Amino acid sequence: MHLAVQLTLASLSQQVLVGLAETTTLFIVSSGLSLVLGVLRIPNISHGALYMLGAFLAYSITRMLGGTAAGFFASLLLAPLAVAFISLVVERFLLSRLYERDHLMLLLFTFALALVFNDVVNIVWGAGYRSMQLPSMFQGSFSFSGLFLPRYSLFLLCVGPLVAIGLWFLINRTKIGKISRAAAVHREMVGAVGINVSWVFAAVFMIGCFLAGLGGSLVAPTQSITQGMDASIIIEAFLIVIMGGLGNVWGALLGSLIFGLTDSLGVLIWPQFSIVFPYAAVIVVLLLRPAGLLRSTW
Amino acid sequence: MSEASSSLAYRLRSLRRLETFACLAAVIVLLLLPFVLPDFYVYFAALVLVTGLFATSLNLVLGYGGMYQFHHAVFYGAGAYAFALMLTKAHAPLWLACLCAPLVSAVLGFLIGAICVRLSKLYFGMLQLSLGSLVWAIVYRWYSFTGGDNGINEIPLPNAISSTTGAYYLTAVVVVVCLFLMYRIVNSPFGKIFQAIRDNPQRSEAIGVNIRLHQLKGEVIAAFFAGIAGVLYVVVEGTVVPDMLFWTVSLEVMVMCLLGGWYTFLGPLLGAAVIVGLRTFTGAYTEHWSLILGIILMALILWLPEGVLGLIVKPANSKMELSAETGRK
Amino acid sequence: MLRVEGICKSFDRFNALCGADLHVDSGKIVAVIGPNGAGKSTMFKVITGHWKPDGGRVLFRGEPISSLSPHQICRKGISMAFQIVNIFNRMTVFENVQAAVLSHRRQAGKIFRSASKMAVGQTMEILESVGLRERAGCIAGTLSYGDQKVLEMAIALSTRPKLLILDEPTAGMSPEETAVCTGLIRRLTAENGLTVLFCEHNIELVLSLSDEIMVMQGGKTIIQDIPEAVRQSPAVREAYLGGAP
Repeated sequence: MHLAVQLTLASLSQQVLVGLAETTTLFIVSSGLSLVLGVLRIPNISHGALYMLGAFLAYSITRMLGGTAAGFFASLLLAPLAVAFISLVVERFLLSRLYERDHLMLLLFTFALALVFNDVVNIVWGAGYRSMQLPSMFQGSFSFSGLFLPRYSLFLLCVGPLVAIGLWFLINRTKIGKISRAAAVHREMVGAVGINVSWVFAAVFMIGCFLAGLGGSLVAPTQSITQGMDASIIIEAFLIVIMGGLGNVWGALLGSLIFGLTDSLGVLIWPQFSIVFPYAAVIVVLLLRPAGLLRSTW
Repeated sequence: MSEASSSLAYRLRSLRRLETFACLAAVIVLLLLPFVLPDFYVYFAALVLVTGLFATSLNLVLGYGGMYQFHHAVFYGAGAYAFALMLTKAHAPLWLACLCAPLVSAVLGFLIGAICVRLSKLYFGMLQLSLGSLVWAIVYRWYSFTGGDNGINEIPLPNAISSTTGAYYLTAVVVVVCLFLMYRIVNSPFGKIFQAIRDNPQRSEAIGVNIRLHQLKGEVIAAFFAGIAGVLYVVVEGTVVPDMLFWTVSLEVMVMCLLGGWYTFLGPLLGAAVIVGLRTFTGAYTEHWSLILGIILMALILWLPEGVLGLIVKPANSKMELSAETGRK
Repeated sequence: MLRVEGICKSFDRFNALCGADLHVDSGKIVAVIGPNGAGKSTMFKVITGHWKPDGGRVLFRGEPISSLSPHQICRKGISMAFQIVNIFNRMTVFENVQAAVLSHRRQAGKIFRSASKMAVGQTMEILESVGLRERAGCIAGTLSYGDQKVLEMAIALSTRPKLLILDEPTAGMSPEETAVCTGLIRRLTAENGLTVLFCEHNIELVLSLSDEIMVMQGGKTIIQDIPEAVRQSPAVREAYLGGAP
């Protein structure tokens, strides 16, 4: 009896920890989505495709650099940068012409982008799936007081707060953050005082997509990298963003915590339909607060 | 003054006569198709009609209601699954299954609508997308009931409607009836007020319209017709797969509405014909369908946001305005 | 007919309304004036139910209405023409007015009847009375600005209101259009026995049109009286000219 309680308690807390680690990537991806949504008002469906692109790029870069730990860390930086560069090109040549259109057109346009990215991935990497190994320093797990925590999960648990702090710094302490916050509310006003809003938007879009790429390269060693891995993450990110409040990065953090925790606890309760739990959480949240948990700070 | 209005009335009447002729001609063509076309093209025509019905039902809320219906495929899939499950699991008679499946869709439309309709426009769309994905996930994972990713095959259908020609005729008749009904709805007081809400929700509220209720009704109606399209899909294809209610399908149907022109009634049908046609016939030459679709979509949004039919209808309207202008002077 | 008692409304930390009072008697034309930001539009939006007041109450024919939603308030008999043009852009002029008439007749939910033959007479009558009959077939979004404002008023009239609220009816109009519009308001109110509440910056128009004037400043009512009394009130001079040298 005593043992059983201890076991479930242990497995519960283990599940929570692993869930939290997975939450990290969710947070990184959805905060990027939320940023773009809040400042540029683009419901970016291609965000998932950029995430996938990040994963594939991380795979290739790591391989090119010989699969070492250094190569892995380099890919964590280079793959998101490459994704950010692609997004910059897309923003400058295509999206920047469409800012006056309504959400529906922007959604469809980014869907078109997602379709194209998917096919590009198909052309470059082929239709099969790829997998890459964790660098040896991240293999295995720590154990303390009966809990087993994979080393990589611990790494992710460290990366998440770092990204959150970085974003906070970016939004509140840098010029571009202040301008973009102002631009989100009064676009014409910011333009009128002589700031080139268009480039601020480009920068924000790049940062948002960088986060998508970062999320992709972080998950690359933990799951098989395939075409279509974008389809589920984008829906999850959407959910998190609605739950947290459109355009609110802290909302994205809170949302991904709720999402990750309900999901990982759901696995314990009802494995086959664990997916129901996060959705139920979202519905409850939105019935209570139709505009999301946190107010849009933009 | 009365001259102006009577000439307007005359023009409307002659337009109506033209429309009636066109409809009759279209129906006759539809009836004769199987006699002149080989089997594959008959099947293809049926698929176009089904997809067209699906797209038109989406346009009911998207183009006429101005609602961000981001995940319409759920109702299409729900109708198809309800139909297939009633036949395979409950062994229900065919007529009962045909009747109940669209109702299941309508009920689902009511549930999702009731949750979403209180939210603002973009939230509505995004939450609907998410809830729809939940339905997909349940269908996908519930192996014992829905067959999971295998879907449902070997659906017992009588020979009369499972043959290519039989399926075609059933589809054609049902689609024509549904299009007629939807046309009536669009031009009914309900439809007019729906368009008013699309154009200006604040104004609509101020003339005494209960927007949320109206949108909820619209959602249920659209879901119902999408459910009928789902049933017809089963009849034509003889199978159901969970991919039918995946969110990319919803966006693809939106592309059809956009391509044809979502402020026109027949636009989505035209769009469906073009997209289904392209997908079927480019499939023979290349596997890069999503690249092609993506590029078409980008081009549409950049250069043709009113759609093909929208482009034709628009000049007609401005001409009308011009004549009224000169009439006043 | 309408009593507004001490309504308050604040947005974030800004108090748009703090204790505004107003009464509109049946058959009167009442104007609300005041400097920009005095809370005129906010008060109208509270009366029509677009915003809920934080305090105070709104009585229409003795009944509190401040908790109702806009469409319910419309059905009680209050109709509003907005400051910025608020029409159904993609529909024809005829359909614009018809939609309002159908909504007023509670026929908005009819699904299978064809709308093309419904409420035609009444719609045409309304269009005739505002002088838009010839343009019935035009797409509303293509009308000139002045005509759009008139159409806006026609829509507001279509619900057969007892109280018509006009938020700056002549804002942005040319002098000719203003003259036409003023004549229209005067004629329509006389013909339909309407009670009108409006706000306006054009003081001449206000003086010529209204039976009573209410002056607002900083979200409060300064005075409400007949035009002559308002004109001579020292408080109003203070409010309007206080800052001027």
